[in-house]
Amino acid sequence: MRRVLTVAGLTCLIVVLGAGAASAHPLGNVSVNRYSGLQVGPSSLRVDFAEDLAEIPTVQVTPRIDRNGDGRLAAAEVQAYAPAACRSAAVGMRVVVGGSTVRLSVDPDSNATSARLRPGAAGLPTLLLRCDLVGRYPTLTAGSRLIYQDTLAGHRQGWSEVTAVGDRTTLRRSDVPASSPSRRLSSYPTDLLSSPLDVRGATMLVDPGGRPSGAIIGGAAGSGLVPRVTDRLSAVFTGLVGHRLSIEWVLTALLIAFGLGAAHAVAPGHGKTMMAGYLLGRRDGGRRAALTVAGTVTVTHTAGVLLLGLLATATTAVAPRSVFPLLGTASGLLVAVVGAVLLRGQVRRRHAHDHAHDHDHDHGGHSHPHPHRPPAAPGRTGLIGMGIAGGLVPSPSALVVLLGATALGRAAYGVALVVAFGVGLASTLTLVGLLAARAGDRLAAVGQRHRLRWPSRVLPLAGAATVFTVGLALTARGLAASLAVL
Amino acid sequence: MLRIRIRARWAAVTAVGLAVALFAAGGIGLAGSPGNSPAPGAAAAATDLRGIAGLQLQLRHEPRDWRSWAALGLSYVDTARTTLDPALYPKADQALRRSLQLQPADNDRAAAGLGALAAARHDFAAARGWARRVLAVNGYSATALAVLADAETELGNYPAGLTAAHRLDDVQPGVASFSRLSYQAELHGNTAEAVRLLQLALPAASTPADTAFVRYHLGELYRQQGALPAAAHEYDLGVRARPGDPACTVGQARIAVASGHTDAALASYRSVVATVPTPQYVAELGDLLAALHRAPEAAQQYAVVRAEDRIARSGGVDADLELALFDADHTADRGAAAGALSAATATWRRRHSVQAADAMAWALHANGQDAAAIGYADAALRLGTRSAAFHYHRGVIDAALGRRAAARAELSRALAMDPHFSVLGAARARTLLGSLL
Repeated sequence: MRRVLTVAGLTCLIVVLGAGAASAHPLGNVSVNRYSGLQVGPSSLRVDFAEDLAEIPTVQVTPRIDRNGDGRLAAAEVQAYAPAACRSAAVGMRVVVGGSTVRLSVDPDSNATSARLRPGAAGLPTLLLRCDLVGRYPTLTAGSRLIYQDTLAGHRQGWSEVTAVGDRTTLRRSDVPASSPSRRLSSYPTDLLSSPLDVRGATMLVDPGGRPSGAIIGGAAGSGLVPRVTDRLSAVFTGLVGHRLSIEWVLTALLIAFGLGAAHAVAPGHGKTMMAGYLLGRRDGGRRAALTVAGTVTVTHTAGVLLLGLLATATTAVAPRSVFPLLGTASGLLVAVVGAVLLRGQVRRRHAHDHAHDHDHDHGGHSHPHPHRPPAAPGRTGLIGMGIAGGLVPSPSALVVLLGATALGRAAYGVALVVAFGVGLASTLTLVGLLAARAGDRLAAVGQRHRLRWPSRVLPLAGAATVFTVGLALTARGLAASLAVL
Repeated sequence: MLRIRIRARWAAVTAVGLAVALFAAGGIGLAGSPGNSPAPGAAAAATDLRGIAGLQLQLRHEPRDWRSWAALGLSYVDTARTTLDPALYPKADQALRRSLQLQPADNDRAAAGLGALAAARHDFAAARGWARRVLAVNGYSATALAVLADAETELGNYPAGLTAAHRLDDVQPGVASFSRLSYQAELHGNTAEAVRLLQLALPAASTPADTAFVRYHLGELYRQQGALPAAAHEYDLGVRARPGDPACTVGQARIAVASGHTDAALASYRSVVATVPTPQYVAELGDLLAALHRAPEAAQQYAVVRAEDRIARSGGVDADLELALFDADHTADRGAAAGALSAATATWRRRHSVQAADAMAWALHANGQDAAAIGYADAALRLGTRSAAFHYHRGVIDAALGRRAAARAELSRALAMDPHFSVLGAARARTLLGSLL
């Protein structure tokens, strides 16, 4: 299992790294490339718009960016250009819903609107603009027709693309795909037998009611691909990816990713309860056990994020949104199995111990209670199983970061951030594990001092029972979530 | 001695106009089958690619179909000619080489296609090599004959170019042969014959792109004789045949400049450079803005030309005559004069066409080497080409050498030939002429 995941993760790594390399613009240095991702809500349309200008068009818009006219494009000037450029883009979009025209405007609440320079050929920059546009309309009735047209697309060489998904609505007879073949202008198929896509509009029938589509987070995630990321820490993490790159920034970002991973491990899940329970009852090799579990969690989590990222970008068949609850269920079941095995072991051990007890008396009450049998725990396999269970549900924010980085053509950077995140996760878990092992030792020692036998007997049993219960609870929660999504 | 630094751009542009005509001619009629020819700009992009899409589909099912690979490569070259999309050249190259790899022997189309591609990339020696290789086996390959005619002409071997054009006309009379024969007549100063041959080509033009191509060159021939209404008519018909055609739209803009309708001219230029920002069109817009005393806006356009120059050089592409002339015209920019001379010298080393000679002359003048320049200015006029720009350059160099009478004669001839040959140059020519009287 672990080897499979590792191999898959590595494959994924190679694939995304390959996509990240860029020098000359793949569609030619005069190309202008546009993407419109429509999210059709019951009473509003959201357009996740991106425009990728190759070297020459970037020079052509330079006068609009370089406000102080010094011939240089400062980061602040580039960022200040975004809202105006997005407004111009919105003006060029024609939206008709149920026969009436809908005006699009830049969403003032969104942090997705951004502009960024990227290095291109001959030391010239290319420009990536992202806009979060929104238009409101009266609540849709069944079968409303929505027509979208990007009238500014197609005037120049380049790639034009439109995608559409329903957000609490259902799309019928949409003439555009739900997911982006170019991964939102981050990778263009440039093989000999394909020509740049030239889709400038979409028509569809919309029925109210349906699954919510995912939020666009920091302009990074694929629309509808990932669950909403709500907590602030995750928002910070996903914000890392769009920042301008420099050595100092990358190092800082990796540190932040590490810290966020460490903090993220405190949140529920990740097998902490289970590990604590297990280690409480296991007095030998506690430290090594803690390391094994934490290491496995990291590897599984990182591989899971990479694999899911690969699936999300490579195929449209897998939507991580629906995968998460299933993974949660699997994780819960795994935990329950580990718990059950532990419980069975404890019960058997107790049985054996009762026999040993008599012998103890014959020896005249030794002060040193040597273990008569090694604990009947599942050993290494059990530890790894727990680690896998703990890491099986990838952190949505890590996935968002990976997808976002890939979408921005910074796949390697995204992978590095995910790994740093995983290492942070592992360090917290190791810490928790060591504390649990230590606590177990302490309790047992206290028991010895007071000549009490029950701690060393009850603790493992209680731990195993806890693991089993937590597993059942996780399974139930995962099943409930799966049913809600399906 | 007064050394005159005259910056004129359209002069250069007109000279370059000839080179571009050739470049365009280099592709025309090559893809052969009608229907492959693309229409321009936005509306046309879909039509462009229909033939290509068919070939792509065919090759997905039959990846070893070397004939389709060759046809696809040639279609990419042809589409690049009309859409001015340089991203298609690497694809064309790979498709043609794939074809040649699958069928190394007797693969005329792929070899001729590689010749056409080399010509489109201005590697005329390589183009000639491919054409000869094909013709050694199949003397009737129209594509190879067209490539050979263009390559010899651009290398400055005009008799050989004319011979190839005549053979092409024997093998397959049509737009491809008429436009090349017309160009030969134009180069030799026989404008009437050039017009007649292009008019012959009109009924043979089977696609909107071909029609627009012929209309544009007819318009240019009229305009350079000062027949502005006739020229405007041709450009209008060209745009009607192929809406948004960049060349014909620029032709309309030039007419608007000559008629004093600068706002209309600016609008036309802006619409063209917003879709196909080729250095020539961008530089023309910049010069018009400069002539209107809108220097900051002109500088913005010049920055685009410089960026294209940088990309071309970084891509190992031979810095072109256009850019050499641009640099020679805009010597106020640091390093421009030296850059012009190095680019012109590099080109002259490879080919001795009249345009290359003119660029050498003008670049040497920009560097103050007028004594060396005059020989090249003579070489540029060796065919008797009726080019106001060539004569203007020659006159300026004469004036710099103190040959006042010769300078007066050349400048007067340039202005008589085409009083609107350049938005900046014509005015400078008049001023200089006045100072010489």
